[in-house]
Amino acid sequence: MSKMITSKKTVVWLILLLLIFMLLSYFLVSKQPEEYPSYVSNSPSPTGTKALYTYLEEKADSLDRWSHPPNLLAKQNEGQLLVMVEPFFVPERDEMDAYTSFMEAGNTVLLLTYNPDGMFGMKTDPIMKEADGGSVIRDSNGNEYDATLNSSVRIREEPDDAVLLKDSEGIIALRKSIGEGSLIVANAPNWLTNEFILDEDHLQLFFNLVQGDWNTILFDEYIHGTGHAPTITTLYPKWLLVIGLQALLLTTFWLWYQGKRFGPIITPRESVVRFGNERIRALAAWYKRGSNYRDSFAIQADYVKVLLQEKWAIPYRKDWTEVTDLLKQKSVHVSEKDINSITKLLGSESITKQEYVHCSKKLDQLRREVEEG
Amino acid sequence: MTKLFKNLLARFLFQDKGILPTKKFLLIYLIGSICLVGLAFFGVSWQTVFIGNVLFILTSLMDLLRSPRKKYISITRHMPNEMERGKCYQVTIHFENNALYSCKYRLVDGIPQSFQSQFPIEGEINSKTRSSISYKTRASVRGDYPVNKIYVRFSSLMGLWEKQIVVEQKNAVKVIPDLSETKRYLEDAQRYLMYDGDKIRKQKKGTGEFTRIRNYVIGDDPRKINWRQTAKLQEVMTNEYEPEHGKYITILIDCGRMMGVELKIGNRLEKAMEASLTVVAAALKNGDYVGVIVFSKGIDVYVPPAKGMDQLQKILQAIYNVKVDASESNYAAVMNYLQMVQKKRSLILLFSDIHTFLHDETTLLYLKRIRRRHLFFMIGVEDEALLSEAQQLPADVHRAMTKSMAQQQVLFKKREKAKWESQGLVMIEAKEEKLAVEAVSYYIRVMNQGLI
Repeated sequence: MSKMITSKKTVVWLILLLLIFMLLSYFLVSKQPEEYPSYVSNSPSPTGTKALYTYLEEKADSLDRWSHPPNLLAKQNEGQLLVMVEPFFVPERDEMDAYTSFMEAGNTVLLLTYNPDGMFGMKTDPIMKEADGGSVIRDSNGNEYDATLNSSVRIREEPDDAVLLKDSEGIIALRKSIGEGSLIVANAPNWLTNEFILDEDHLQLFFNLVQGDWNTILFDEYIHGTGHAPTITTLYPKWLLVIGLQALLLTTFWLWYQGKRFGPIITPRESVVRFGNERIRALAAWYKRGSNYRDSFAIQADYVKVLLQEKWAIPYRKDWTEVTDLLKQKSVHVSEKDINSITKLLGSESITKQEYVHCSKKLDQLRREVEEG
Repeated sequence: MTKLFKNLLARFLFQDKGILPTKKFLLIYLIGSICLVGLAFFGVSWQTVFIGNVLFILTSLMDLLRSPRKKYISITRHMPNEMERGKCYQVTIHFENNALYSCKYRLVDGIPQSFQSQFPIEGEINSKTRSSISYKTRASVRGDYPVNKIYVRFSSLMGLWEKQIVVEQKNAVKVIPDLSETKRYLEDAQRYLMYDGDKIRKQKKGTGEFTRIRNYVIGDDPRKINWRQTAKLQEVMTNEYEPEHGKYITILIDCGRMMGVELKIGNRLEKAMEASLTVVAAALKNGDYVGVIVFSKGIDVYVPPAKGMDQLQKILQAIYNVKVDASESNYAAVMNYLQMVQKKRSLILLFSDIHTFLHDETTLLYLKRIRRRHLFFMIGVEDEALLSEAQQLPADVHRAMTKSMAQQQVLFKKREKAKWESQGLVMIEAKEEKLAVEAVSYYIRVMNQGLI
């Protein structure tokens, strides 16, 4: 009884300790530096775009972050610029439609992404050259800029598009008119990051792209939201998911039904049973490993001789050559040749495996005749 | 610590009390699920799916309310306190349902594992009634067993969810050796020996001491007619003589390692036990004194010699729980002990494994000393596996090797036996089903010859 109480106490203490440990570890872990995703406008990390955002905050009349779905964008307010820096996911069709109608209302979207393929019906072509940084870029007026390009694709031009920037490999930025507004696409989001914005002519290139007078500049953070990546419900058809759910529930119930013990615990009986031939098996394995064919054969011959004495009164002390003569009178089926080979084998120093098995069979035939008549 | 947790987990999840879904529930749920999946094809909303599941599970749980509460169920068990090994016995379980609801039940009795039986037992019981269920069981291993628990699952008549309870019902069962051979001997010794033995062994009449006077029947020796009684009673009477009674018989039962070897039915110790009990019965019926020693590493049980049929019960109660010991048997110790406790000349019957006995070289010395005072006889069970291995066809190296090893053992046993028999120590090996007969025959032969 006292033992049980002490064990209960230890359980309580252990749980307490565990709780303390968990709390401590929670506080310790929460001191870890905050992680920022790339291209987010409030990220001060080298990959963020906070530098540009803060700069524009001072310069522009109205600047804001937009973290709501695109269908809530104010369509009447013309002259808005929505800056999308490297979206984390390709928006769904209705979202894409909402963006398009936003532009059709007379607003502009600036899309900066390494590969704009699939966004707003854009097409791209891969380039042969390795995307390894510095190159010279020309604008439509023929001015030259230095910039770092990490994209491995170039944008494909369509008839009505206005090319804004290009280099020797192809088009880097273009403007597409959509309704009353337009879409500006460039494949170099790296220009805007905190780390590179002041390098080379990146800042200038950015202003080149967004020339004009904007009522409001919006930085789209909706496309950086983690919750908007395609979820499991959008990836798989509903019926498959329902099958999964029902299978999960059914399996749980089935395990419950199967797993509950009904009756006493049973231990297999094999663990307590022993057999009488353990000794013989061990000895046989030992002889076999040592290739003691000669000894083994001698035992078999000895056994037959004892039988010969018991059943046919052939004296035990007579050796096999004498036994052969006596056996002839008994008219056994084992031929004289076989008996001779047995005799020879008994005399030899070493026996091969084949001889051993062969002569053992002959001896067994003789034994059977003697023993069973 | 972890053991405690494991116990808790085991208790909560898998053992003893609890509720669980039935097969019926699973089937209905499966059908429902298929319907839901079908609906999902036509674009039913997730809400419907969730509500459907939750509603179904909740309404099915209502079924639990329709089955009896645990406290209204009471169960008792009646089982024999003593069971003979290998015999069928009936166990009765009284099931009482005091609740307002009828129920279906399944039941597993927590009898020991070595007991053979068919579980679970299924049935149905109405509200406020009692019923008795009985099942047959057969115990295959001797010993003392506690039987503590009865596991019951019951559900409402609809049967979607089952409740499981464990009822503590303490019983204790003694499984004693199979006494059928002993009983057969006691019923009709002559027929028993004639039926089983190769030779008919009669208890020799007409020699030895005078026992009684009875009517003369044709075939009796006319020289034995008691003329005085004949004259007195006006009927021909004759004297009857029988071998002397009141001899001492000591039975030694080895329960060392090698006695645990499995035979066709049971193991060597079981057979030795049954045979020795038959000899005990035979000797006690004859009016001899019988003592029993069970030994392995040391002396396990000693029953001092006594006569009368009460002694059979005494011996039975002393040896029924003997188990095979994992250690090698110590013959020297038992011989020493025997010399100490058995001063009178007696017939010593040793039930053991002959091979182990022959390997123990110190025994010969003790036996020589014992033989001066007692008559020694050893009986073992023939090793059928060994003999069949010695005769198998040497088709490959492995079999040839096994065969030669078996032959070596057979030869060894044969030679050693010859050596010991030349010293006047008799030992025989009997087939497992003939062991009791051989032992009793030997006992009768010794008595008839008046060797002790």
